Amino acid sequence: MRIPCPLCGDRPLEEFTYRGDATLTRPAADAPMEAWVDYVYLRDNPKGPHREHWRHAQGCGSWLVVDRNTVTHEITQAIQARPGGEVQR
Amino acid sequence: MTRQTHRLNGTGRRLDRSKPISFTFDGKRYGGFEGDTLASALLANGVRLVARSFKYHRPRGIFTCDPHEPSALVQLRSGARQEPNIPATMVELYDGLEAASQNRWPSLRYDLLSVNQLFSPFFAAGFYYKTFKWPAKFWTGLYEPVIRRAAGMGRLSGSIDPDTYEKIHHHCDILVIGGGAAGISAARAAAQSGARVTLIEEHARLGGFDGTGLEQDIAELEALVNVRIMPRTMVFGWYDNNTFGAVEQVSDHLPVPAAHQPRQRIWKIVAPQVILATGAHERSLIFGNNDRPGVMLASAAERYLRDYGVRPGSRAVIFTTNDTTAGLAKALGAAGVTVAAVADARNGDEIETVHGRTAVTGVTLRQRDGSRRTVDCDAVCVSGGWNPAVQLLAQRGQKPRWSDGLQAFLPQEMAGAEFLCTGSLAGLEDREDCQAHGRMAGEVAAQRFAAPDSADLASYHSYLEANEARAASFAYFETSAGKSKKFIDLQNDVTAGDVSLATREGYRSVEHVKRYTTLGMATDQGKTSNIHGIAAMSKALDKPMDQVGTTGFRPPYRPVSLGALAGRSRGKHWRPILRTPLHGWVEDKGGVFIESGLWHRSQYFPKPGETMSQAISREVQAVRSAVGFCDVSTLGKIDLQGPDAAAFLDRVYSNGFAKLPVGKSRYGLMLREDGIVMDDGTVSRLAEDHYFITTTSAESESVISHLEYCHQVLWPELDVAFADAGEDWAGTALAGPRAREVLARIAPELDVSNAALPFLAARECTILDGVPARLFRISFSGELAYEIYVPSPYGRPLAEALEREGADFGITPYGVEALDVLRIEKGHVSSELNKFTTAADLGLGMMMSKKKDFIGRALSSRPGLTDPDREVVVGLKPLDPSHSFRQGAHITARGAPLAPENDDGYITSSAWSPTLESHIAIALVRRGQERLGEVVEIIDPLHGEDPVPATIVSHHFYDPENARVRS
Ligand SMILES: [Zn+2]
Repeated sequence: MRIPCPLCGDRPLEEFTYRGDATLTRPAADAPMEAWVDYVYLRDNPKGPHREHWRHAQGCGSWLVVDRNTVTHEITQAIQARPGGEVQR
Repeated sequence: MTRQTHRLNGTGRRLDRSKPISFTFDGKRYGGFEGDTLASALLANGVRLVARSFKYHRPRGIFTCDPHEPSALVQLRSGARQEPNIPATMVELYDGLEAASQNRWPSLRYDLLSVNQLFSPFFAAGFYYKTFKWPAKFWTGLYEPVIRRAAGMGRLSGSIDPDTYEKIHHHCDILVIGGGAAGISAARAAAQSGARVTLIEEHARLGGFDGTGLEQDIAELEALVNVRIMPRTMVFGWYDNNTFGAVEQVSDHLPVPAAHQPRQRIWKIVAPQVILATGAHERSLIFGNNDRPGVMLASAAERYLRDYGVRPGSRAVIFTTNDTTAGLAKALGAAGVTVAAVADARNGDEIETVHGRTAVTGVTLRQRDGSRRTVDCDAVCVSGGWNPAVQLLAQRGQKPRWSDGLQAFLPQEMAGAEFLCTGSLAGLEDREDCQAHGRMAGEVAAQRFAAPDSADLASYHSYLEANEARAASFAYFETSAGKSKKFIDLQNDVTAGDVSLATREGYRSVEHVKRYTTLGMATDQGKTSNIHGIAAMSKALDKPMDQVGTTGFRPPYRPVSLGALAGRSRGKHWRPILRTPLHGWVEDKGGVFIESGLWHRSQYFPKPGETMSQAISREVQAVRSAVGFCDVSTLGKIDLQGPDAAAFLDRVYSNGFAKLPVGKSRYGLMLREDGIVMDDGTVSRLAEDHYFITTTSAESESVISHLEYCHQVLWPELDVAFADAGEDWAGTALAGPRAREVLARIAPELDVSNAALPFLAARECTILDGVPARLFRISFSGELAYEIYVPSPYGRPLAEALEREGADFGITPYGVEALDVLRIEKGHVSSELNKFTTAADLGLGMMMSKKKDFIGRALSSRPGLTDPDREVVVGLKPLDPSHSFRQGAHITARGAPLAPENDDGYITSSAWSPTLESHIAIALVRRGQERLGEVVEIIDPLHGEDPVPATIVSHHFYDPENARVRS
């Protein structure tokens, strides 16, 4: 698998670390306990498209939002997670 | 040396007869020629029996001319280069080659374990599952040793492999896998566009099954500068993004690798377009005793005749279902071999059974009318048709499609966005078809490489469709009668009876039958045999072939040696070593190193005649009574800057940092979002918007990654920037009552008084005549102490200066063992941060700020993490100070029976304390802080040790008032 890092270009899987679902939002400080449990523990395990966080750990260090198909491993988009980093190479 | 009784004059296009070669098999000397394989040379010498089978120890010969040879597996070479389970068909002969048969005892001809044949009912399908279930003790005591001995294949030398292996990356525009007629044409056509083409071929030479007449094409291809040809290279895996794994046998055809050459090389190849021209494997037929030495695939017999000048015998019988054996009959005749009979299944003729034990002596033929006749012969050449080599496609998840016309499993898709199929893989049989379609594939690949989606594949597809529509292959797999054993899988000794038994016992899925019978699970992966297992299931279950289907295929296509996969990552190169800037100095001082993660850290500094524990105690006592220093360069270091740096720290640490003044350090605790402690360290404020952070050595990488996540993903609005400064700074801890006096000497410009540089002071300063330094009055040991950081190149000069300037005060270098004893005496947590503990568990509950949100705050208030019954940090002292206990030992109330429900916790750190003159420990004990003073039992049944009574005490064994660090 290769991931197109927006800063470094196509790089092999070995350079990246995986975190998981990128669609989660950290709850507000006063959110109920259930919201925190969902945020930390509950994950969907979709077959197909998945938006997820990867870090180019052995490269530029960027956290990326990667749209990956969990069946085919096709990657349709990889952008920097930080705002302003959406420019796709 | 024996005479090459089966060598022909005239044929043998691979041989250089001017170069005779001598080799040994089972210690006996034979002759061959350059160009021979071990298999062809053995056949030339009339050697029939070359192996014993895996399960029944049946005599076996050479069955194929291919890498997936199921029978003739041999052990090669001797000494440290000894290598088992090598197909004789793949071994290129060299002078002096040593080979030996396997799986026989005491000799190949008189193999005593062939009595296994008499017990064959015992070895039927599923015998492992049925026989060895119970009693359990019989397994380790009886079954396993016997089976290991009986089923052992070859043996490894047990010595270190003296050869090297390496890995290399390769990028090309178009990859062609398979150097037969189709692959050659495809590569030529693709290369005409100017694209960079790489052609990979498993064998030593291009040409495929029959290279006759392709010499000119090959020469022209080799002359092209944009074509790279890689012979002796096998593509074993096809991975995401058209990435391929291949192994090149660089030196296996040589006695020893040439200077500076590896034995094998792993290639990681990336190509936007791939053309699969992987060919087809001839399949056998299923008849009685079809495994006897002398039974051989027809294509193999033809290749031995044509390429190696070897005749398979004097009288041959051909058993076939197709026209590809027509050439063989002619070639046999031309070589003077009598074709005693041709049993063509299409005419209703078949071989019922083979006669002979260690070699074929004849066959019983069963004719269309049911009559039988016996024919004397010494060779049986068999062809059951061809299996397209779909394995690589199947690795990508393609389920092969059964073609009734071709009577074979074909690729489900003949083309995808990044791949094309051609040649016999695509069901083509004639060379002209392979060449014509190979050209089309090459042209399409070149167009696609130039402009994706531009190519028109209409004629590419219609060519294959027309070919399949024309095909009318004959459906035939197994002889209809006879009582002898009929082998499907020669390498794993799986018979037609085993498959039928499995279906009678209720197995319906091809995957289950495979595992139950071990069909196709040997190193050849059933390339000649799987189809017959599927056919047998199809017959037994009365289901069409495509509904039975094939099993899945995973990499590797063929076995890959572990040496090649390891590459250079062996010995001291198996993982990187991290050395601190003080490493060389520690070496010079005779320090002992200990591996800690990737780091080599100084463990202790023994004096002559000192034991390890003596040295550690001396180092501890020096720090407690005078002064010592220790390399702490392995700590993670992060430089954090920006106007929002304080706000950022407040969110990632559980305790507050906004009010930390400039010039001060503070201990910090970092939680995971689930409320468990992640790491601890110190944060020092060097300027209003500038902080220097240390992390533990073990967690430095994960803390950086975590902070980057917090910054880039969670709170990008915070204006901070940070850099991993771990390698920039060398660090030493200077500790002991006389540390201030040493510091004064190395930092003469600095006011080191307690008033000017109090506990937790942080300074940027210069030491040693102008070396920039960061100085923090932080103590891990419990003594007056400083952490001194200098740019890495100054690490060694700093150590030398400390040693020199501290000599008057009795300065002593200490290692991580003494460091650990000091912190256990002091009661600082370290190994207690074990990813199970909360701040409260560690006695650090007061570090959980109530005034702000921070990572881990919300979930740390969960009932499970605030349960008063939790195990919390305490100290332990044995009643008898000489009683020791180990990390991991458990704690029970006195008199409580040994039972899991009475487990009250465990020891996380333990040491001999020279200061307290007692063994001591830090432990996590249930409700421990409520139990101070209670005597408990320390139990360690794992090490068979007697319970040790110990008192629960505060873990702050030493200077609980914290007076010394402030002195
Ligand atoms: Zn990057």
